Amino acid sequence: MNYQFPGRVLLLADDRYYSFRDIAYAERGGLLQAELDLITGSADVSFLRIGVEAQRFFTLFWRNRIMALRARLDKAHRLGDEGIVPYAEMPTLGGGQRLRGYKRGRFRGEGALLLSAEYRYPIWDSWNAYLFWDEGQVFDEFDQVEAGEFRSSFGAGITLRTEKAFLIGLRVGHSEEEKALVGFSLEQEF
Amino acid sequence: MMKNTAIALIALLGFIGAADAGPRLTTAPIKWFDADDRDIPEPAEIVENQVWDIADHTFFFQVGKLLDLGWTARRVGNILNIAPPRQADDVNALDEVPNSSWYTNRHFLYPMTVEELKEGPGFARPDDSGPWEIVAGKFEGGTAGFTIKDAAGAYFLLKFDSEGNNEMGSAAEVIATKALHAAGYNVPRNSVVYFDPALLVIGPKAKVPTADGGKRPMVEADMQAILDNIIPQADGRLRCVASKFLSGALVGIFNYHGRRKDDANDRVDHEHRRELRGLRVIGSWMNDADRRAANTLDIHVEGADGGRYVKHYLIDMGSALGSNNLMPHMPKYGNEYVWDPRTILLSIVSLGFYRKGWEEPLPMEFPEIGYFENETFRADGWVPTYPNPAFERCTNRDGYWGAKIVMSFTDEDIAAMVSMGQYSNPAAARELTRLLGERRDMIGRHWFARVNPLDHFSVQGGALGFTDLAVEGGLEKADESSYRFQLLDGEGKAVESEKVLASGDLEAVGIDMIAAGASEELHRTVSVKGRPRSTRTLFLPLPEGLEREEFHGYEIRTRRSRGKWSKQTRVYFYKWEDGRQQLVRVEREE
Repeated sequence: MNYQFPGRVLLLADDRYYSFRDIAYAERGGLLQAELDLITGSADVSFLRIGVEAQRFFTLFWRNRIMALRARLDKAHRLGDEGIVPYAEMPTLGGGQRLRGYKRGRFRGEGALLLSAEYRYPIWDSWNAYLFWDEGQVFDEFDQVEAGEFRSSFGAGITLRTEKAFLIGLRVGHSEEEKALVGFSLEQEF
Repeated sequence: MMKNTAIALIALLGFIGAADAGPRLTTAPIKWFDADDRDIPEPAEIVENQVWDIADHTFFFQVGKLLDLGWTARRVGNILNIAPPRQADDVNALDEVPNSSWYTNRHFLYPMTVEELKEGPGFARPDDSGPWEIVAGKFEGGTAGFTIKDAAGAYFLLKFDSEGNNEMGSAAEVIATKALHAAGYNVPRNSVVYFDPALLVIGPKAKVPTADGGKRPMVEADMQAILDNIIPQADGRLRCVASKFLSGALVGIFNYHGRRKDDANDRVDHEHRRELRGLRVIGSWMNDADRRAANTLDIHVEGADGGRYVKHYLIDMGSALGSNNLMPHMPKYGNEYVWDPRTILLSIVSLGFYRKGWEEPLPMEFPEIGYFENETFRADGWVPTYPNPAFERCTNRDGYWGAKIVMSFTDEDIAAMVSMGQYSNPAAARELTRLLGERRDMIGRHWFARVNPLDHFSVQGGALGFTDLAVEGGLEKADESSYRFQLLDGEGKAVESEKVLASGDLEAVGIDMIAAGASEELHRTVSVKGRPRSTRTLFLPLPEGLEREEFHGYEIRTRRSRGKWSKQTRVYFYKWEDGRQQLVRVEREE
């Protein structure tokens, strides 16, 4: 896949090659995404959950050497004076998707801000390696966000894909709390 | 313990080095035939398991190699330059491969005519004066097809090009067959054939596999399902490659390492056979990337004396040139193994800064050729798709042997073989001929720089004759080539000071150069079929007064312009009497 013809020869018909390129492993372009959930339950559970994410991909040096950037903001907004956000519904940081040098759900608040940079490069036909750097912090109110409050983690990983889909990933993350946190993933983190 | 191991290792390496020293000279006839065709009972069939074959050579063989003390110690010795490489076991005193059940000297020693090159092992043209009875469908392997019995009762396998790749696989298979045959290997008869599909009739024994693993009789719809995937020619005929069944009993594949235990004639470990080691170079010429055990065949055949022996074939050349059977070759094929831990590790640690030369695919100008290019080709780095134990042991001498065979094909020879691919677009044939000629020269330049490319030695009358293959092949200019030589005794010790023979300095050293055309006798020596070589043979007159009934020799080195002198080649002969000598040995330094 990494070293095959541009795109991939997927279908042959009428003496022409039809090819397509992965969208699960982007090399160029970006993604802007916003999510809004209204959650109501018992009388005192009523909040909005907002998620905004921006991704940007571009190649460095040569094809398949990809710089992937991500910024994500999650915020739960209570509705009414008495509304609460259940603990389990609070945005979190830590784990395979967010702030990968910390254990899953290590940080929790009504808001979470995550910045990720990832350098991806090919090591075999369907194997890629990557280096990542994540910065993130949780907060309850926006005015609590401060540059000095970010938690850092970095690490490296290897991913294995099939022709059309992500198959499995193995990574090792490091942070001030974890020397080498090993994790598996079954989907592309971003 | 460690100290003892180190001492043992050094002693072993020293022994290896010492064992190879000194010429072993004899006036016994040169061995040009290996009598490995003695009658043996039919061996058991070696059943091919493709998955195991790939896994074995990709993973277990690679690990086992490192754990093999003999291999590892020798590799260390090679790197430290204290032990010579393990040379092939089946070469004769002239550093050539004798004819055997594996190999027959052809185009290099006995230049074939253009018509002979085109014919190769023979044509495979089913008799179309009557119907072709389908006796089996071909559902395994890369390409679909049929096994048929023609009107004359002969059996053929018909394989079709895949959809969208018209002419690619069939042309590659036939061209590579012709080249491998001319190089000296046993190959089946393969030809491009056009036929009317109405000739096909389903035979009563034709079966097709069922979903539950069983078989059922083939019906019209099964045949049509295969034919529906084949794009007919404008006149309605179908194009295929016809492969004539080999006669004899099939006894499975041969491996590129070890020997058949049930074949008493199989006396040389296959990884130490020069014709299999040197096949790496011939394979690199044609990007014959799928050259592994699965694409070999052993046949228990009847010999000339009525006895039966095992003959060893290369088969399935559909993954050569730009073809990978169903689709064009991937750009990486030939450049690294399908799973290559060396490059994976390098890619990981280089953080992506290690860029493979072939990473960015080049455009395919001619789809009928497939993906075949020379821009990223490296003669020293070519590998098949899976590790091949014999190829991995290819030394410079083996590589030189393969390269001189590749270099023996002229542009005209290549064009003749390419014509048998029957490309409908003449420009495609011209381009493939050009690419093969260019790659041939790249191979020649690489290997001829590692071993002194002097060959076709003869000693007759009062002179030692030889050909400079680099000049013959047009890689170097005659007037820029010099030869430094020194007379040796039978122990390999110099008995005269060195002299230099150069085009502009001949009279000064008293040496005469005679054009090959002046020596018909020499031509008969090197070319029994009489196709004249467009070359010139150099002659070193032997000194007056050489002792009779003694061994003598010459050490010769070559230099181009003002470059470095090459490695040495030593040629030994026995002088019976004045004017009558016998060539006894050729040694090449690598």
